[in-house]
Order: sequence, then C-alpha cells, then structure tokens
Amino acid sequence: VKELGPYIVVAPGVAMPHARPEDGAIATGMSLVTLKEPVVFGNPDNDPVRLVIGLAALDAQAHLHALATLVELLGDPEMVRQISRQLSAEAILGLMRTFEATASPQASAAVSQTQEERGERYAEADDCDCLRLRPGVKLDGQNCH
Amino acid sequence: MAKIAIDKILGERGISATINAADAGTAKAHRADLIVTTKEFAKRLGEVKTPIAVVSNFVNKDELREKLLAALETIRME
Repeated sequence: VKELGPYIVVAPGVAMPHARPEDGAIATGMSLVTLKEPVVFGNPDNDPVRLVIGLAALDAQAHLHALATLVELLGDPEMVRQISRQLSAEAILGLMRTFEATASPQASAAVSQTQEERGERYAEADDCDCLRLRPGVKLDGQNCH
Repeated sequence: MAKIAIDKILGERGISATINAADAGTAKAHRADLIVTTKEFAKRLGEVKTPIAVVSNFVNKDELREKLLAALETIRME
C-alpha cells in the first residue's frame, strides 16, 4: 500500500489486504474485521473503510467458490452496510446465513465454506483447539468446550 | 476478485474470452486485448499498448459490465 497506493480498497468501504505464498502466505485463510471508527486509506472513490477482509491464498484455485460468494456479498451495498455496523462475529455470521438462504444453491455451498474458514479463525482467536482441529463441525459455539 | 465478476458478465453476454488475474509486472509483459484494473495499477502500468479499462469498485457488476462492454466495443471498432 505504501508503494502502490490504496489499491486494496476494492469497493466502497471495503479493504481487502491479501497475500500469496511468495508474499508470505503460509496457509489459505481469511479474516474479517469491522472498524468502529472508519479509516481513510486515500482512495477518493471508496473511502472511508469500515470493513477489512484479509485473504491468504496458497494458489489461484483455492477457495474460488468461497471467493465467488464473497464477491456476490460485497456486490450488495446493503449487505456491506449491515455487516460493517456489526460488532460481533455471531451477528455477522447471522447476516451471512441470511444471505446464504437467499442466494443460489451454488453460492450457498460457498458461503458454508466461508463460514467454516471464518469459524476456524475465530476459534483460533479464542484459543479453542476443539474447533481448529475439527473444521467440519457446526460453528455455533456450542461445540466449544 | 474482478476475474470472477468478469467471467460472469461475459458469460451472460455469451462472449468467450481467456481471463487471467495478474500482478502489474505480469500484466505488462503479457499480450492481452484488454486490461481491467484500478486507478493505482493503471498508473503503475504506465505506457502500455494494451487498452485499459479503469474501475473503482471491483465487485460492482454494473460498473464492471458498463466499462468492460464499452472497452470491448471500442476495441471492436478499431
């Protein structure tokens, strides 16, 4: 960003920092952060940023389905607005499930995948090994010790 | 990201194309009919012979569709 400018601000209010293995990605994953105070990145078209989604990919094919659904989701300004306002992971997962329910079957499979990835990330953040070791489990917190 | 949306838009129109996601260096070295990118990378690409379509919202299909089809039309006219 320092070299190239605010190119990671890909849509109004949304920044997507991303990396490939040659840039240091050691596993495929994603994260999502909502900002309490919007941040100006210097992108006049899309500032200020309220939603930061980090992507790490090991190859171009990995999680293409999840990414396709994410594109659909981010292409819906109302979804972006609603997600940006949320302060809890549960609330955001709830919004994504609603989106999943109204999206096409192909898209909904991808949303599930996205949720699993996100769930894993949250599990790591909570330092709970039980979810991290079993990525297939339903990520509603009830499976957690 | 944009590749996914562009695939869909061209699919809707029945236009077949090979679409590659590339970094600035690769895009510059690659022979293509059209480059779709953001302001920052358009600046970075500098002087290239390939036509460039500049988009500000990479996930907005309406903006991508409008700029993509306009650019393709320009290419077709030449």
